[in-house]
Amino acid sequence: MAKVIKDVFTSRGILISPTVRGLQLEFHALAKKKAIVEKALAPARAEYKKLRRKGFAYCPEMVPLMDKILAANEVLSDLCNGMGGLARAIEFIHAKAAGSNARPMVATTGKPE
Amino acid sequence: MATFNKFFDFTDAIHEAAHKLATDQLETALCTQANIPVNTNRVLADLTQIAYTNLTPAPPNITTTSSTQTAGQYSMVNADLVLTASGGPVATFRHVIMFNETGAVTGFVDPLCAHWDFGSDLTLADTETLTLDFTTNTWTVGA
Repeated sequence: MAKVIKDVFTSRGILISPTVRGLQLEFHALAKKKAIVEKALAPARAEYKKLRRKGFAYCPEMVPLMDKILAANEVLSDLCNGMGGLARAIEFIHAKAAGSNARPMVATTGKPE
Repeated sequence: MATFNKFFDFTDAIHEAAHKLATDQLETALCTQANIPVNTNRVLADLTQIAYTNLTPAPPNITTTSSTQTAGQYSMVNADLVLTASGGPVATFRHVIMFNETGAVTGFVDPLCAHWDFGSDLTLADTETLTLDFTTNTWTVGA
């Protein structure tokens, strides 16, 4: 028997179609992965911050912490950009359905010089 | 497109070791039009922020993808950041501010980097998102 998939509407009248639901599930899966990486990184970040707040720009104790942060940032970047792509797609669909006031904010490149 | 606005002190702070951008944690702050950030603000404490109830992620960290130079031009690249209202609406805001949550020199904590104007007030309803797309480079220096 064919699976019955119903469209549902949020309180704002925004259509949650099966497509959007799929995108949302993917988004939440990436968000969970991101949270796991950030939790694992938290102790290194806290230690790094402590040293920075003591006024160190660089010290030997920072080296392994920096390595951990840089490695985690690579993973986090992929996850964040994946989430960004999915969120943009959902925002686009919602904007088409009207009623959503959110749209991507594209931050233009600057020159702080 | 939201235009990059630098805080004036950022140019100084870069050269006075307040920032170590490859590994420091950049973070987002949000302000209303009534509490608009001005370029002469220096640190986070200079700003009046919104209440962050229902906003995820908390804190809204910005991931640094790379902080390198090519042929003398420095480029800061940041990953997308998706702000989501979760469990209820997020207070109205209009301005997005980037600051360095780790960066510090004596008496200079949470230095501000740049700010962007969304162009109109925005209230995220529950489950709505705002994607901050920092494009190819967030900022460049030199070359």
